[in-house]
Amino acid sequence: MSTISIHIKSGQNNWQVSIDTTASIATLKDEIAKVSEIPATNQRLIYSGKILKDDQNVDFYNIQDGHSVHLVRSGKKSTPTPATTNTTTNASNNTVPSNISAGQTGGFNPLADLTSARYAGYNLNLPSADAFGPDGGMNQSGTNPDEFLSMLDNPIVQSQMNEMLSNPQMIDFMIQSNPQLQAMGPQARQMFQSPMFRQMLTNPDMIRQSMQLANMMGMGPGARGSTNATDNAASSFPAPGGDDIINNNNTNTNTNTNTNNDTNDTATSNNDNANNNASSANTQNPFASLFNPTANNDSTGLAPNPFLAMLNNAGAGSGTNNAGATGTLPPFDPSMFASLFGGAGAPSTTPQQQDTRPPEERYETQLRQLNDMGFFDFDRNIAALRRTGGSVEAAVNALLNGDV
Amino acid sequence: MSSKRITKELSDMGRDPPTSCSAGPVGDDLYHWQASIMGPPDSPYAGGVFFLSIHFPTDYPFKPPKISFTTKIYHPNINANGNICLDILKDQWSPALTLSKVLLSICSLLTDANPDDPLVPEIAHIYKTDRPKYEATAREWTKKYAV
Amino acid sequence: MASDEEYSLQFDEDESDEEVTALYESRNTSEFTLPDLICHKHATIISQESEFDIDDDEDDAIHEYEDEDDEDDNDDLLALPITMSTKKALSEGSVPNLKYECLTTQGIYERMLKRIHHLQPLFSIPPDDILILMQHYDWNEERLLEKWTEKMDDLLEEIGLNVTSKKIVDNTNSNTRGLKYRKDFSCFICCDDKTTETFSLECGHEYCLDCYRHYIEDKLHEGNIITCMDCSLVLKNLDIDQIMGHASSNILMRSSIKSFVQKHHRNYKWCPYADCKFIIHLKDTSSLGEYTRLHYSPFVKCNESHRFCFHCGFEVHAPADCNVTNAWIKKARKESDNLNWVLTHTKECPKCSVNIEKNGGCNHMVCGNCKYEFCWICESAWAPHGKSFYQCTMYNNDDNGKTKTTSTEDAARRLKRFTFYYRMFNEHEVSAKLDWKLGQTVGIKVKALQEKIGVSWIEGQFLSESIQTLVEGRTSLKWSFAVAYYSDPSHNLTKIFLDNQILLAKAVEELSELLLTKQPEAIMKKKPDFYNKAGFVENRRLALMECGRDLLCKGICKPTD
Repeated sequence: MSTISIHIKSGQNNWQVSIDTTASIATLKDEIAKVSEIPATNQRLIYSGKILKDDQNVDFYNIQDGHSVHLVRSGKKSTPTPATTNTTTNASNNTVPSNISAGQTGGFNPLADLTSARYAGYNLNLPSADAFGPDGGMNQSGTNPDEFLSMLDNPIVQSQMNEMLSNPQMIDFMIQSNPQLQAMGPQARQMFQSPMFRQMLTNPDMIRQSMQLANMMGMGPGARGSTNATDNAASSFPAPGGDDIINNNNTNTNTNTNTNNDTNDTATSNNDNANNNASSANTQNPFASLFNPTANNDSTGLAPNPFLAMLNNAGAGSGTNNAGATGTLPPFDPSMFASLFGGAGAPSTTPQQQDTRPPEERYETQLRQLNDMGFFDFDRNIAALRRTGGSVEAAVNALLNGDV
Repeated sequence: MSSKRITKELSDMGRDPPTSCSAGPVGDDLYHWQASIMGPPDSPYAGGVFFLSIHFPTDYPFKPPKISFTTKIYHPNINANGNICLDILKDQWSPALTLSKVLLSICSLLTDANPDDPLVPEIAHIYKTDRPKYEATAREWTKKYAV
Repeated sequence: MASDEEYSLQFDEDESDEEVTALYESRNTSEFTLPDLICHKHATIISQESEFDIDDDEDDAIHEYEDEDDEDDNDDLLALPITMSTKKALSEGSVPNLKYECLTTQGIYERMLKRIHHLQPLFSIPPDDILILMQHYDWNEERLLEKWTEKMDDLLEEIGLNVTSKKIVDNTNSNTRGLKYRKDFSCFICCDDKTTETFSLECGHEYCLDCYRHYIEDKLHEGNIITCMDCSLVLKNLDIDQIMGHASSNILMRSSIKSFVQKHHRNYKWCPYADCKFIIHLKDTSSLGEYTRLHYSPFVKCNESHRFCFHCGFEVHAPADCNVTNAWIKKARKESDNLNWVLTHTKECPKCSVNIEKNGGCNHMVCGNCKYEFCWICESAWAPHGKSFYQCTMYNNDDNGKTKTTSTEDAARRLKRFTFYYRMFNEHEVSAKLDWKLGQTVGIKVKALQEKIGVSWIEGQFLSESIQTLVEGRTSLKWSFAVAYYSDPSHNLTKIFLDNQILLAKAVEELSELLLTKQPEAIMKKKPDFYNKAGFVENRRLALMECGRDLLCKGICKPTD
């Protein structure tokens, strides 16, 4: 508890303020507002390469007596504080590049654009790979299957899906990011490129069928509750859900990679669309109705269903074998999709109500443990922890498997 | 010996930072820093704050630090991965240079790009042939990613 | 064309040891009275072989080949008489003589120093400074002089040889060049405060010696001018040695010369042999085109006696030219990565199936188990090889009698054909390597000769000369299979070429066998034999080379795929 004096530098201007080290940054901003006549909401303070967050204390950033803090005026209206934002995923976006992603090293990563945009504080509700792990909201957020199906009917979404799947880089990325698909080798690519498969992912009827199939198979509502996506057939099924996910992701990805060409209108509208879909949903398990055995009795009318074939191939065991319908597709395990798209995540729209701290704080102890174990890549550590909801053990697994 | 030098640069940086840059360690690791550069007022990047990640090699200052942008930026010498094409970060590095000087060099690179030695040829082409378009795009990106 | 046949026929008739011996004798008697004419012819032939000897003046690595006539001695004379008769008509007026020199980085550097010494009066600055200027301009004298006349003082400043007042740090203590001993010195680089030796140039940027050493150590191998860490003032060689405490500037100069050689790869070529430090400098590359046109190859020889082709950088590959060589090597790489190993290793004795490893040069094998004598190459009995012509270099069509043209050959057949030729190629390559090893034991034999029978060193030289001839013969034989592979088998000239090939193979095997003689007395007794056989090999080799070139010139041998 002591008072320090700080130089505030802004272009040619230079002010000096005294502040108590236990005071919050918000207080500091008020102090600065007094001398600089720049409203606190328009101030962005930078020290030691970091943007200072309003809710932190001065001593958190270890600001020393006599040191200089940079002030940048922002013309934009300040974003609401975390307490008031319930509909924004990245509440603290505008003020904090909370975990600057250092290593977007090489390669094609369609999510890179998303993440960097987010880190830079661009106020779009962009989903990122990190945002939707078990702690991110997929398990909490809800998606109404009907709305999701109606979204699939949307021709724009479909065309974007197709576009995505015909982009070899995207496929590469999807394969790269999934060890199971990697293990499949060239078959994986072949599979993605097969028109059958594409249609499967883009045709709402197909999805509908698979939902019905799931119902037919009698998966209970509880099955989806498992956090381990691969340990049972039920949770290995959410391939249709995956569609939703990649749809939305795709929407964002496409538009964001196109931001070079500055029209972001469609992106925003699509985002809004997705968000609305999601936020209007209740918090109950989105797939509950899918797996509700009572909802379906139409098993006889099933058209050739690729998902069924997959399940058969995967040994999930169903009497109806329609594998012939998917003759061009190599056998594969649907759980791949679970981990593939589950990893990529759905657009999370329900914010973390209980914890708005940035991940590096929230997982401070876990991070330290990971560091002790020899994992020094900050960004990956954070990503892994977010994905695993803070479980060090699972994070280590994820890190070792290269999932993050 | 590199830690001593880095510590000294850190304290110099805190006490008397360059007008438009700021840098410090990310966590406890002295060799991994982050930095921010405020877009030079006379450039299309004005008003933006750009973040960079810095890794010091163990034989710093005899080898240059590795610096890359983490904020997207539209610039002929900076690519989509944030890599910077700057001679003093490569063969023209000298032990007498400091991080603060390097950051200032990056600032001046933002003001005056070097389209003849481009990292992103497309941007360099626009820079040379259609300067207003380049500036507009750069301003757009700045607004989008760095404000 | 006709002359070739004639020649070949004539050779068949005349092929006798007496003839060759006679040639040798003529050489022996006329050794020091050989007219200039012969020397001249020799020189034209040498343009192919680029004979050059080293031993007499190792210390002076720079030889001007213009002085060749004065320097040549008995080494080259061995080749003279053999070539004079047959080569005369074939090589006259063919390609310009290759004038090249063999250098080392040190040699080039010393030459640069000499040049600098010459230039010094022009510059009126210390030689050390001129050295830096030369280094800056990649040792390009003309460019330097041009710039120098343009803007003398500016140049000095630009390169960092002169101090301008604005660059000087206001530090009265350290504005002198050199080492200083300082108490409680705070070095900006390492941020240590210590009592240490420091170094600075006139600019006054003073750093501790440890940092300077680290800095210079990193830069030595880049070969660029090293400057002060904080400005463009140049560290001269003297400074570098002073800081490092030993002659490190040599490393820097060598690196700089290396990059110079790399930049001028059209005129300078590193000897491709492993660990060979020599550089061949060809002053005038204009004749290289002529070489290619006439299907000659510009072979050069470094002071370690490594011979290679200046054009493609491979070993001496006559009778093949560079195109055939490249095509062959590409093909061999493509098709026979494993073939290589299957073929080179042990073979079973055709009779008793005992595994036999070939560890000597001669292809006349005697099975240690059953005493069966066979030819390593064709694995058939040796007896016919000795008497009649050496037949195993011929590729026999499986279905003899039925003549098949190349166009109807199916892929498997072509591969089989290639496999055959590749095998031959490979056999001789392995044999050549073993011969080379054999050659290394020759020194011991020569020594034994000197000690046991009191033969003078110069008289024992015929042994190493024979080895040299043998290796060259094998190499030519080896590459002749590449030519044979790409040649139209139906053409008459190809047949002549194959005949010549057989003759050379026979000659080589005979010489190889002779070289296995162990007893010093026997060796001395067989001395005329050595001359005979070596001469024969050389003769056949040149004949084969000419014949092969003829195939190339007439387009009968065309490298495909």
